[in-house]
This record gives sequence, structure tokens and C-alpha cells, in this order.
Amino acid sequence: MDIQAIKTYFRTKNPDLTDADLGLLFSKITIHKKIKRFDYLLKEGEIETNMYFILKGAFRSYIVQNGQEYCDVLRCSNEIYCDYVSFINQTPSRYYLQALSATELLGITRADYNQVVLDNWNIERMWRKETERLYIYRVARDNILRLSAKDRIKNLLQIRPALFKEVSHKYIASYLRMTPETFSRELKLLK
Amino acid sequence: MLQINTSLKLLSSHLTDDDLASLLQKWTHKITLNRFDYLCKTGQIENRIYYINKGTFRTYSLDKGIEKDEIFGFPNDFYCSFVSFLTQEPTKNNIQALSKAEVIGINRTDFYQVILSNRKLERVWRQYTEQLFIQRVERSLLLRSTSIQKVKLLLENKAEIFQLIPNKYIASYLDMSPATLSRMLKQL
Repeated sequence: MDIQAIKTYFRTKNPDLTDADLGLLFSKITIHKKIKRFDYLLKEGEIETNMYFILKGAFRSYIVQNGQEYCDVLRCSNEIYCDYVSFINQTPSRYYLQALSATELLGITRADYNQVVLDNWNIERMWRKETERLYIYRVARDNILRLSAKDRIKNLLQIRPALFKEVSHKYIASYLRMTPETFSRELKLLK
Repeated sequence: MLQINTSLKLLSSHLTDDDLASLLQKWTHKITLNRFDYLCKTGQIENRIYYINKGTFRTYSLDKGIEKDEIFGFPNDFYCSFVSFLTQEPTKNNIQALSKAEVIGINRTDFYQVILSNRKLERVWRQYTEQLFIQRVERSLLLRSTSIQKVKLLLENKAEIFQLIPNKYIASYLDMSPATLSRMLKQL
């Protein structure tokens, strides 16, 4: 597992994090999971008790409404992942969190996480900045969906190029609310 | 100042008057607005957080020339174009008063200076941001419901909105026509 990648990731959130801060955080990262392709990390109705860091593979979070799947989140390696709303509020999840490939994750329990955030100001600050970023991303995503099909793809290619390598295109198409046919047509035109 | 003091304390029971003193003294920009005046327009960079003393507001953006209402502001709310406040990029939003209104604002620089030097305040801001995120997720889930479900949920969660905000803005907020909204309200 790539501890250095996680350290770098956390430090980009808060450059003030010392080795001691990160040592404290890592001492609480006690969960190690491998999830097979198409298996679930969390299902609708369950309560999110952990926060994960993806070491390998990709996930999607989707909701089922009126018999239809809507993919709202795509995450791949070196990103933090969980159902944040359920994690923060401890309410049942509305989402299915599904592995899209063979995946490997590290995780921290909510109880440990809350404790470490209370014990260490630098870690709490990192989480504060991460929360701000989550909010900014969420609004940006709502705005992207108003664009034309071509501009949606262009925008996503710009901000998250890694997704196009790690996630099968039919899920990206669903994430961008277009058919796989439209997606591959527009993607070809862009290249 | 009593009003905002109370609202800040409602955000966290751990905040004392000492914690709040440094923050409150920076809340210095008082603005009064007439109905339909703008607090913030598309393209501007949001440099303040406001606290609404009086009046109601709407935040909308233009989508292919059509106004889309996204958030409403009520007395005792903290309000601004938060994404632009965080990123310091031009906002896509317009914030418009829907009645005579009065707000007080704090500059971004002052705000961050104060919260970065007081851990309890930074924590409250973190928790506030978590809730902004959650509201955003909830709203996108709401918008995917059927028309009748949308109206029902809004009546359950925030019935007073129908007294405070004209129906045409509520219809836009729910992404439906005013005619559909009034039909749904009659059905319920």
C-alpha cells in the first residue's frame, strides 16, 4: 500500500500537517478492505460508519429513483471516499456504493475520526478544508449538468482526467447524464 | 448585535461571549436594500458573509436565459454566494432582496483571521460548511422526485416558505412551472 501517496494527499489539503500529526492519523487507520468488482461497500438504508481512502480501483455512488439508477459520484485511487451525508449525520444512506473494479481501501472509523479531529487542530483544519472542497465540487457538478453534452465531457476531462483511464465509459456517461452512445460520439469529436 | 450573537450561539452551545467578541466586532458592514435590489451579481467576487437582520432574499442563476432559484434567505440566516466566497472566483449567482431588507456583513479577510485564531470558531465554520454540503445533496435528490413529492417534502420541511416567498420563485426553486405548483398545492 502506498502510504506516501496518502501523506501527500493530506498535505495538499493542509501543508501545516507535521509528521507527528500524520502519525497520529495513521495510527487510527485500522481498516483494510478489498472489494471485488460489482460488490458493495455500502447499500441504501445502511449507516456509514467509516471513511475510506482508495488505494486501488474505482467506485460509483448511485441512487435508485423510480426504478432508475442515477450515478452521482465517481471516485478512483488516491481519493477519499464514503457516503459523507450518512457519515456526518448518521442517517441511513440513500446511495449504493459499488466497486467498478478490483479495489483496495484503507479506512478509519467515525468514532476514531471524530476523536482525532478533536485531539489535533491541524487534522481538524484539513477536514475543514476538505469539507469546503466537497461543497465547491458539489455545486460545480450541478452546474456542469446544465452544459451541452460536449462541454460536460470537456469539463470533466479538464478537472478529473484520471477518471477516463480508471472508469469504464458507460459509468462516466451515466455520471454525466447522457447515453453511452452520445458519450462516445462526443468524446471522439473532442480527440 | 444581540440578534447575530444569538444566532451564532445557536450554531454551537460551546461558544462563549469571549469567543464571539472578536468575531462580532468585525461584523461592521451594514447594508439596507429595497425590494428587488441586488446584494451580489453574476461575475462579482464574493468578499463578505452577510447576516440577515430583516427581509427575505433569493439566490438564482441563469440557465439558458431562464432564472433558476436555488436558495432562499430568511432573517437570522448567514447568507452570501458561498462558492465564490470560498474560491474567490467570479460568482454564477445573483442575490436579490424580495422585500425591504437589512444585512450586516463581515469581510472575508477579517473572517478568516478571526476563525483561524480561535479553534472553536473554526470548528463551527467547519460544521456549517458540512451542512452547506448536505443541503446541496438533499436539494439535488429533491429535484429528482416527482412534482407532487417535491411539494409535499417542502411543505413538511419548511412550510413557512409559502408565506414568505411568492409562489413563482418557489416553483422555480422546485424546477416546475407556477401552474404545476398551484395544481400540486390544491391536490395536497
